[in-house]
Amino acid sequence: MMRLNFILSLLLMGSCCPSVWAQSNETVWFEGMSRSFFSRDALGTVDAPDTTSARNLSEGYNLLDLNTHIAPAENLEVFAQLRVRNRFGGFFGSGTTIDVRQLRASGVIKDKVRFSIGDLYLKQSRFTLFNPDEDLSHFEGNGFRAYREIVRYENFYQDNRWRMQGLQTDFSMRFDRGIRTLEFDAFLTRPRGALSLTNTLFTPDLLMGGGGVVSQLDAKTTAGLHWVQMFEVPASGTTHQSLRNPVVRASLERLGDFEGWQVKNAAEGGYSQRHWLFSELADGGADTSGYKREGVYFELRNASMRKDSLWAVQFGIRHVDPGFRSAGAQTRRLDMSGTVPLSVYPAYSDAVLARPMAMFDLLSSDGLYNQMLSPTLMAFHPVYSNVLPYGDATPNRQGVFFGVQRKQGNGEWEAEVDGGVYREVIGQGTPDLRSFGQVAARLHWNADRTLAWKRKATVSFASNAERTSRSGEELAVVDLSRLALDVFVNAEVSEGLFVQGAIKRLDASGNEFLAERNGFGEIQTFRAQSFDVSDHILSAGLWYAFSDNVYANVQYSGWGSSFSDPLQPDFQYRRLLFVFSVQL
Amino acid sequence: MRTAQIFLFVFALTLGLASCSNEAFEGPSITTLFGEFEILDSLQVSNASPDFSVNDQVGFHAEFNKDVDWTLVIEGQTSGSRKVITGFSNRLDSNAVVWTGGTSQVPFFTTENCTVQLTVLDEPDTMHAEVTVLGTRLFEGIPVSDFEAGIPDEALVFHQFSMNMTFELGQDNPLMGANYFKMGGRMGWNEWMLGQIDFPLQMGGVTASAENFYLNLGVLSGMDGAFATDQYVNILISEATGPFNDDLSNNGADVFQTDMEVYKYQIRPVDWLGWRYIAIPYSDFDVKSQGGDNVRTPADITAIRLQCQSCPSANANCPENADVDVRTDIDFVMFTENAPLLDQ
Repeated sequence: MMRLNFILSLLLMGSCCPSVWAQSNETVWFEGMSRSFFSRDALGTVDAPDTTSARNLSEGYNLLDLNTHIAPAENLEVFAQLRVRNRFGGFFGSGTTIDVRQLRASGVIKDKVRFSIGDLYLKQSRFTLFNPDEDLSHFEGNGFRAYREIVRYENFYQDNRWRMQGLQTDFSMRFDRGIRTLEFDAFLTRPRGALSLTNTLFTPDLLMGGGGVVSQLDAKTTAGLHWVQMFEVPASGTTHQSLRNPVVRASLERLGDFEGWQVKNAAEGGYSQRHWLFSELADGGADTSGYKREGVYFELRNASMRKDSLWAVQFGIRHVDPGFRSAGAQTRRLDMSGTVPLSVYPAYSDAVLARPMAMFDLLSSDGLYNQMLSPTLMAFHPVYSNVLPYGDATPNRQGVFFGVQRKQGNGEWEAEVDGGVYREVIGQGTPDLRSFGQVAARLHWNADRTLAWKRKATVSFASNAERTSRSGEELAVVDLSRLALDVFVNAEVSEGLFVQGAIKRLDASGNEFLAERNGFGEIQTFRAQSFDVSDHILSAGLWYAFSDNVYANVQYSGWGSSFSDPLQPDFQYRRLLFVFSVQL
Repeated sequence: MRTAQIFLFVFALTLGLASCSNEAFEGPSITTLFGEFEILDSLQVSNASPDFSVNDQVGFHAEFNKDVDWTLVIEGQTSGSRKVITGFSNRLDSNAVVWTGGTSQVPFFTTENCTVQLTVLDEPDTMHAEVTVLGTRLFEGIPVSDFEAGIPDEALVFHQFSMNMTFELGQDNPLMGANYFKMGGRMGWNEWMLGQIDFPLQMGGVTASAENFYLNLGVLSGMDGAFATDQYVNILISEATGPFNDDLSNNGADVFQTDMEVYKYQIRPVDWLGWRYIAIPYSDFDVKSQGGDNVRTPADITAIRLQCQSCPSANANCPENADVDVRTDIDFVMFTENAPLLDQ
């Protein structure tokens, strides 16, 4: 209740006394985000009658994230994000929650050393600490921007950073001879506290620390050395087992020019080890370690851009050992373990069947997304992502990758293609190796420029195809193909008012063997799965942009899946969405 | 030029590293997992005439060509008791897959002939063996009562005086031995509690934590093929240290009062016909009254109360109970450490 009063006092101060905001002399200032959300889901046509599900369901909420920045001294800032959330139907405090969502203190010591304590957003490299994008979002148009923004905001996804709590510091030095600069950074975080398994059994605290040194050796050459370690503190738990996962990385980048092109050549490599330490406390014996995996990775990359920026090309080779384990880089955003129930009509066919996950769930269910670094490889869905389910750091892959980007001179259109061809380093369940192919393309057309319209009109088209195959032993043959399409049309009909239409479609067929792992990440068995599924989302709506950061979106979508398996009935649902989002 | 040299060097290094792996492949062989199933060694028992009363055990051995989901069922030909052991492996190791006379499904085994069947999921083959039980298992634990010597002298029984109250010993359908304790009847007014039995306990030697300390008891339900709506067993465990029964006017023990350290669990509903044997970890008990430290400490337990309760027919929610007797009879009440009794 005291917290509620505090919030209300803050809000009253903001609304009644604007001079407080204006005259704060930047010692206290506010910003934040407000969102109103309403959705109404309805049953569509289904193969099997569904008499046990409500014909339609609605939910919604209003929320305000008030970011308070306080600068008690020069070069020092305290930041707190307070959330007031009221679900539709909640009155007089019922259904209303108030949370402290983020807290951070940061500053600069002696104008030299920067530090932050509290909620941090950390990223290092794609192989040490990195939050790879969610499945099926690559090259996606803006047709489902409201959904994506909610998912990412609610899960603290900023760029490719992981949000963690701890301490971070960095500083840099310049030199007038020899090397040019040296930049240092270090952090220590606690991704997870001791977790209670029973009243007396606790997992230990999970910590992650790391650091890096990057040096500009000369005007064109940069070298880096990074290290991260995820580890558990045995004494903070009672399970007597604790994780160790150090990863080191070295990199070298060289800039150059070549006949009108700016060229960047980069090489990097690293080593990881992961094992568990077993503390033999009961009999006073020495600690032992087990379930050890170790591996290396290496990547060579050439990225070139024409000096007029109309062409950009990159290509390279990459090798990631089967035993390369980097929790900070291989943790997935999407939790496909099945432990999180689907938020929209989780059961169908008279509640007899659990509804399979569909593409729409990835857009609409922010609860499916993960905020916790996982020390073992998480489950994934091969239809959504089978080539690089753990991002560039996906273990047991070697191959080549490429990317080409082309922009039209006056900005009428731009096109992009990227992809890769990979192969396993060692087989899974058989000596034969899987082969992977992935290609994605995007074409964005600013029709208003081509047609000389005064109002904005854009069309974007994207496709993303994956193929996995394995030949050899008949029982172990794999052949899985997936094609995802994304079309988005956006036309301004009045100042700031856009009519939008979007289509997403996914078709997948074939078979794959899913590895099932134990708690130490070791493969226990394989589950044979066949897929023949078509998934779609059709959407139309209005978008009103009050400004770049303030918009209202009304969208009506029909979505569903169809299966060739007669035992798996098709399903279709509809959703009406309203979002009003204000970036304060 | 220097960059190119570096690239070439690391490229060569990459290829070298790529060839370092000495594993043939990760995980179990798919060919074996999904290939044709073969029995390499059929079911064998290590002791076909066990006397479980002297700690005999029966080991089971079999071998297959791949990891499979297997199920071993031992069924008593007289009692109908069944012990089920399952696993996922390519081998039943007679040192690990053993039967020590316990059951998965009451009634308990008696001295009798038993059939043993080993089946494999999705495979038609069934392997058979036979075992003759010469002596039954003596379970380890801290007995509350098996009622074989009658209702313990120190126990306190109370029941309402309505219709067909049966808070007494029964011999017609015991779970084990010859006797059991009947708790049932039919309430004529709006009262949930039909009756109860209280036992004083001494747990001084117990070292197990609350998670590893189990209350085990058999509950018999059903009368003429029907059971009362929302009938249940209400269990109170006291860690209060006062006298068990100084006050003779309160129809029960003195250590379950609202200012004492008492924990509660309900087996609710009791909606089955026949016996069921239930194990409840002490950690699953809720705090009923906060008279102590609210830490479930098995060694501090001083008493247990087993109450028969049911939605009364006078209540608008269950008028149908006017035509059926409540029955939550109990037998073989025992605490065990580290594992439920049926897992011993």
